[in-house]
Amino acid sequence: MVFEMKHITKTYDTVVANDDVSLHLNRGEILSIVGENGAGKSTIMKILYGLEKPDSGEIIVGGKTQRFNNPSDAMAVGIGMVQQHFMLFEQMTVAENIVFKNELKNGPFMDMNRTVETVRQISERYELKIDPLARISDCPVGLRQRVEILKILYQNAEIIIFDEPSAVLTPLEVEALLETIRGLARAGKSIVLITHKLQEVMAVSDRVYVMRQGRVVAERMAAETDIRELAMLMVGHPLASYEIDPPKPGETLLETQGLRLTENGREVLSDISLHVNAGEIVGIAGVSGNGQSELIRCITGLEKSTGGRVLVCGRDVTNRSVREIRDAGLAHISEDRYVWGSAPEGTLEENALMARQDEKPFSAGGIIRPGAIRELAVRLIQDFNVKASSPTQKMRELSGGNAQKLIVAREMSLDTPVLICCEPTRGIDIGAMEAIHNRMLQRRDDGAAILLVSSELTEIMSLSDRIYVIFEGRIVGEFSRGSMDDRHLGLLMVGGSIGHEQ
Amino acid sequence: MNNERNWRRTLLGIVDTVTQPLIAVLISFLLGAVVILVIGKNPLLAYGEMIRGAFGKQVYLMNTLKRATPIIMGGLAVCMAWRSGYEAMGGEGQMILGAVAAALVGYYLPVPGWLRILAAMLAAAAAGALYSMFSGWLYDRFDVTFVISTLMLNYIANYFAAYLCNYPLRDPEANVYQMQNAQTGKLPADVALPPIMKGWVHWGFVIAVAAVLVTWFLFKKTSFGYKSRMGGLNPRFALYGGIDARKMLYLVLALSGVMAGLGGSFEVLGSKSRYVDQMIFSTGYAWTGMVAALLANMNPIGTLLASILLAGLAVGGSTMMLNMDIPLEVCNIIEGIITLFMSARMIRIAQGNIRRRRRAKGGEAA
Repeated sequence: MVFEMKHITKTYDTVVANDDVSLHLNRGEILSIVGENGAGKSTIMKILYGLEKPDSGEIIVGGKTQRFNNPSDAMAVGIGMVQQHFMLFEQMTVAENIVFKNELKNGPFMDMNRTVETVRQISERYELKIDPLARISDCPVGLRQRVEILKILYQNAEIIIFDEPSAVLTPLEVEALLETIRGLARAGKSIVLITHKLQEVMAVSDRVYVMRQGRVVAERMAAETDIRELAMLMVGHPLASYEIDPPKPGETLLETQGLRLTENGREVLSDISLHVNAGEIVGIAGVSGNGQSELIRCITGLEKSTGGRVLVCGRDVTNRSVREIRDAGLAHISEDRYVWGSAPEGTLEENALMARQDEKPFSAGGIIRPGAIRELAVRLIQDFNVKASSPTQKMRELSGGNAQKLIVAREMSLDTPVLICCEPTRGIDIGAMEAIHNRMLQRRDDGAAILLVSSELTEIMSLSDRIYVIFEGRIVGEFSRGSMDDRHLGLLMVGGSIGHEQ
Repeated sequence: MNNERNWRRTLLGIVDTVTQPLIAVLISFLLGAVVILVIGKNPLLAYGEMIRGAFGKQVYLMNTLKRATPIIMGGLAVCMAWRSGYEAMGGEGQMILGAVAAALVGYYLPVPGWLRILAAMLAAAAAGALYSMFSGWLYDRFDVTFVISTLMLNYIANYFAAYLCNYPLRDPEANVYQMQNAQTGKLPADVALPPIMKGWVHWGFVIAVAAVLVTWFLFKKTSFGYKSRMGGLNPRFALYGGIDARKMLYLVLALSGVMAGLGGSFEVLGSKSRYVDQMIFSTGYAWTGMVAALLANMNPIGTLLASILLAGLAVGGSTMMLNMDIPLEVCNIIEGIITLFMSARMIRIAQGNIRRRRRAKGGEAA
């Protein structure tokens, strides 16, 4: 046993984040901790890593009871954590980042030769290929994560905690990461993986703890469980699988013809032609940053395209104002709920009103009607079961999932023929995700045309009737439900082609 | 129960917003007291004199309200713009041009007295609005930040006005040998905002209070108020919700300029009967107005109260100086400290705004 946590309890104000949690890790083992957002899995790992102090309970590492005041204390006994958000110096090299805080010195200067050599050795020992002299700013996300891992290995960590490591990776990078994790375990390191992606859990773990509402509700050997059981344990009730009726597509409600966008001489969108018919959900699959955001902004009027046309319900709305495009029959769940989709400092009422500020009965002749706005907010809150204490509380006081539900409720209640859903369930728990997915399917069955953009391939695959794959601003493939598996999609998403494989 | 919680929330919110300004004012007066002690006077007596000199007699009170009038208007100009996230500081320039426009129209327009007053105020409002919108255009077209453009435009307005009253519009009856600031011709006696009644403050103050109420109404009860607030809270969200950012930019800045411009016209029509070189610049009305708006956290009614307080500080300070031989600078110190405290907050607000707006404007590229 490399570490053991006994009866850990941690409360924030009135919220019990960890309630009598006990767990342990064996040498060379890959342990997963799964649970919905807010289940307490991050808190327990923050306690182990010295970022938080428990109210009560005991941490035993290497046979001795430990008391960590900060991460350095944890690091000193061999515990390292790969954070979700990387902390690297963009303008410095890989090697410099890895030795940061423990530099190899030659007198007052840094011994660059020895540094590079040492980094190279570690990299080879753990088969984590990197170029020690590459600049971080030139490294893709997958490599950056590798640097983070090497940083921890350089500090002689024996226990490595991964916090949602695959959240930012492409499908191919995820495969590489999982292989890395297996390799580390083979090399004798002990691994803790915090995640809510159950496929990954099943792919690498030896053992799994399931957490729910601050407690450990189950412990399973990976070989003796499956995704369905884990999901059920996480949510606390059996998951409804979506029963999706075959689509009854009607007329085309949303269409782009040869849409282009050039930014600073760079072609961000090239000749995008797509259409979404009434009664279907069309997904856009792609690795983030391949033009999805720009495409949606051009369609919704947030950005001016440099060529091509956009049609909403048959009306040419190319480069019209957001107002005109919304009036043509489009609603838009934006990709980032706090950047575009809401005013965190505004009240729920103010956030509920957005897009209807000039509409009766909410305003008439420029005068707003507080009563009607209150009613609207309450209706949206009830309709989507948003957990809120009052319609006058601030948006930022809601949890991420509830804020998202309010935004989804607002846009869906506009009841437009065309609905654009960007990352509709990013970073929210399974319960809220299910609710949002069901509403999307319901809207589809009611004859709405839904365009879905998501970096979660599973979300795209499970909801879409048709899928476009986008890569570097181009549509590189179009498939209908069931005609494509995620491996092929993943390949297209990173610029591969199917033809060559055959 | 839910209602009760709402009440508590509102109450807590009010306490929260009022605490910081109150503490700022309190500390400023305490530090002022230390200064008074150092020069060997009794601070309690001094402050007693100050309060008496500001509010103690009808004459004093009216003096305070008169001085408060342009400050209120300058404060409203700030409320208007800053609430929407435009940290414009051009109130001074707009007020100067407003004053000049009022002085010009009041002097030259050949229509009966009351119509001339109205025309002078309209001209002042228009001058302020256009000048304010010009800074908006610089931002819209060339990305010039408001802090820079408005501060520079203030100087331009002041020296342009100085040129006008020194050369083409110089009062023909002015004594060339007299050592005084240049000025435009004196308005006829019937072209003036009269006192509300004998011995009272002029009507400009009433219009200023009305402007406070109008602003409050705009903020709280109109869709314009909603749009401008959303634009200030999160410009990207406003854009996403179909609010025309450009239209709001010009509308908000125009209204802000109207307030400042009118403030300038009240000074001319209600007090000086002409434009005197430096009359707005040296008194710092617009800046005091900004302090008032900051003290009130951009609440129009709070701005009214804070403006009267700050005007009282200056008016009462003169009495204190006369009766107790305490230099007027003590008042400047107090106002300075208040400003310092409130500007700490100003920087925070401005930083937030710039960050949010840069994201909104650069949003397409980000």
